[in-house]
Amino acid sequence: MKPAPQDSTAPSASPNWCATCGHAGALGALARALVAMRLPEERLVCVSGPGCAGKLPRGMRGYRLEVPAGLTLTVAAGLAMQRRDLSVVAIAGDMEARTAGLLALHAVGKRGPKLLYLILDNGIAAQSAGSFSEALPVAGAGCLELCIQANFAFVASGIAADTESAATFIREAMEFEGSAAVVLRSACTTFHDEGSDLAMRASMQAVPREHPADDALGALSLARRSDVVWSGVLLKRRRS
Amino acid sequence: MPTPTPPPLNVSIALCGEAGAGILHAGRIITVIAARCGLLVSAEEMPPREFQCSPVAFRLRVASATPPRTPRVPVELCIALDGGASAALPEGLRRGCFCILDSDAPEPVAEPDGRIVEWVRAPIRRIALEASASTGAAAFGAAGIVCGLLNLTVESDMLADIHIGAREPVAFNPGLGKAFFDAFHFAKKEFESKFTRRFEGAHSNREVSVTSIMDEAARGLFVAGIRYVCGTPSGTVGAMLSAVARGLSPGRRASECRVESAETPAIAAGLALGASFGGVPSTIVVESSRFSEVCEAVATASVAEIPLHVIVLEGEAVIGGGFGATEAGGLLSAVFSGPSQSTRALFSVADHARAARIAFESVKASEEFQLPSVLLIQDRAANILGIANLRNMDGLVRPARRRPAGVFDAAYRYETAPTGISAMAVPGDPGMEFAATPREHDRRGLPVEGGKLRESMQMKRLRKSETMRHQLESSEFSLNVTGDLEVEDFEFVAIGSGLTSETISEAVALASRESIRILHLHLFAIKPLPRKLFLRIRDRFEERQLLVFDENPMGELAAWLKLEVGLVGQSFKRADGLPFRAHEVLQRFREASARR
Ligand code: SF4
Repeated sequence: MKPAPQDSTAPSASPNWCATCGHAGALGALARALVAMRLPEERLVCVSGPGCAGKLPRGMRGYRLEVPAGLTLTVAAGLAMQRRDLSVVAIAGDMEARTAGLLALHAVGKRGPKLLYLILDNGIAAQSAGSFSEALPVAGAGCLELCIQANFAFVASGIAADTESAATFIREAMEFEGSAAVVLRSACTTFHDEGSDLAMRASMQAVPREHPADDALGALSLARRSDVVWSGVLLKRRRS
Repeated sequence: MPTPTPPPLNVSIALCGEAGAGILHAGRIITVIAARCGLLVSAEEMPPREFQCSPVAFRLRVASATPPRTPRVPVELCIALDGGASAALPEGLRRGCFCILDSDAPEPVAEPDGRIVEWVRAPIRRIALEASASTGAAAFGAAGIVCGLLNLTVESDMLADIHIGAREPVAFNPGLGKAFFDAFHFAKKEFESKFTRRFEGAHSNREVSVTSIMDEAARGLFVAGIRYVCGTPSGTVGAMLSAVARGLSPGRRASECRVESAETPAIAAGLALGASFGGVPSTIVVESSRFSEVCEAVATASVAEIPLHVIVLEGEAVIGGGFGATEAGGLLSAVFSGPSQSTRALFSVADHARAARIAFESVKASEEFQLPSVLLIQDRAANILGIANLRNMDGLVRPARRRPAGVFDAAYRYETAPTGISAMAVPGDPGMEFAATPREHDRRGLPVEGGKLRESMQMKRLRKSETMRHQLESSEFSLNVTGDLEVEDFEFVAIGSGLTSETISEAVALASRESIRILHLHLFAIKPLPRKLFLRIRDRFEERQLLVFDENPMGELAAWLKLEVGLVGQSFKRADGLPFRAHEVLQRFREASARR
């Protein structure tokens, strides 16, 4: 993937994240997947929400649409349902996915358009000076669990720092004929010390081989394990 | 001996009751049946919020010869769906009132004059219970009574496709049809001797296909090429979605236009915004009271210059009336204010006959100027249904306005073109990739912080606003001028928008009989205003000669005229939630004339 062109008059042409932000790994993973897919730039549309995660598409070529909180997934779904010739990626942080975008998660899961919902989960709302998303009304229910409950047909998990594996899930998700969610645990090095890459790697485990990919209940119980950061595909429903 | 020609029918009817949908349903059924019987009908609904403290909920006037303008006072026939409701009627209205009780109504009610209306109550109650014991059955029963009284020739197929909210058409719910016809035959038989005034002259004309203002608007959407319509499937929005679905032939449904039932207005707005970004012309349908829930999507489309069409329905949930009186109070401020206010259009229609054309215009405005365009539909005045349906769409389709040459040469999506309108590109177009964002941005859509760039983008959108104003200048109002008269030949100018259209027209016609010459200017496009005309009017007329009729308590139209063109006139407002009546408007004209 080529980087976005530099434009001295547009200071926000790149994601301008903190130097050690974990989201950079997610950008790398998405770029890798797209290169592997040989997707023409004009066929890619990234829809993103607010916050640090929402800046990710600024580092990409292709069409991009930034929207207010809560609209990311529905806007992407509207586009994906009407323009099946495009590859649509919705990008949000865990804060949006678990609050303003929660109803949208269910609305889109029900409709099942072909799109990728990429959630960058650093457990924190960095743009509002670091309030923890765990303190939300849906505390306890992680992004993975919410996506499975919302009837997403493909749900995968990984850590942004493990770019190579994440790129594999992302590619598989983008090629999936339905609504796919990939939750990448990412480190906010500025506001969330405990969520560092090292800590994540320490608790990372591959999704057990014996777990059947189309077992939604099994996927749900894996998703509920708060002590493990899963790496792999938790759910891949068979097309009816 | 030759048979005497029956006198032309011309009767004003009022339906009243406690707050509920039954009265509105009954009124709509009567309106449709009367129009199908070849009568000309003018109908006016008063939403529940209003009629909770008001004795009359639905008024209509049916006539066999001259098209009726508005329902008028005195009411000649009054039907009370609930026993208690007739007691609340003013004395003048109660005269000649036949009381019809709803299925859950209490014991018979004695009128102040000691008359007990039991003989009407019993059969309707029985009919309603036998049919389905529902409000719908009572509404159909009440409609049957009125149609029987009017001596109409009603046959079952006339009811077949009547939709009452989400209820099935009568053809699929024989109970409702039975309620109607039982009451209809009962009224014909029972009232023949008791109801002294007989109405004759109705003739059957089943060719008239009766549609609602929403059906008409849906036709406008189709002609304009809308392909995606999103809204929540309940209330008036549900009715609009049904109207769109009804307008689609089965073959067209899948390929040309999709109707999406969304969970909330915000979800509908997101879906439509995404589709619009993808180049698929889309409409959000939302009730005025929930407009605030789609504001973020509208604002995003505004700054990101995405064509997005919004239909705001002012129906049963509105307290005030008039173009700006929304419960949320957010419509006007959302459409007109804020840094991006320069890029939104607002159209308004309360007039059934013009709904298709104005819907078409508002969609086209959104596409041609790449901005959100808002169409406010006021679904309270189903004007002259019988006539309106004879219109066709010829003449509606006109060639798309062309953008000035050279605009397409620009390389960037948000090129600062002289007209403010940049080259439109949609995802999938090679070589035109761009970012769209609700933040202030540069020519390629990338968010910017710098003051100069922000200013240049805002100026671009203001220029777009001017282009839009210029192009819409001549077409978006109706000017009630007859003969060779010029604007300058009139003594007064009556300015209105939305619901007041027919009321002011009738008052102007009445005033002309008293030699008061009034120019009636009625706005469909509230933003942008036809500026040149208004400047001409402002310079020619004095404040006392300019009469602005606002069906809302705030005088929003008057305020908007003052803000936009510096036009200051006498503002007439309504604070009681009831629409203007022609005689009230006429009285204003008389007072203005007396002060001359
Ligand atoms: S605040 Fe945290 S999430 Fe945001 S850019 Fe910095 S490190 Fe990344």
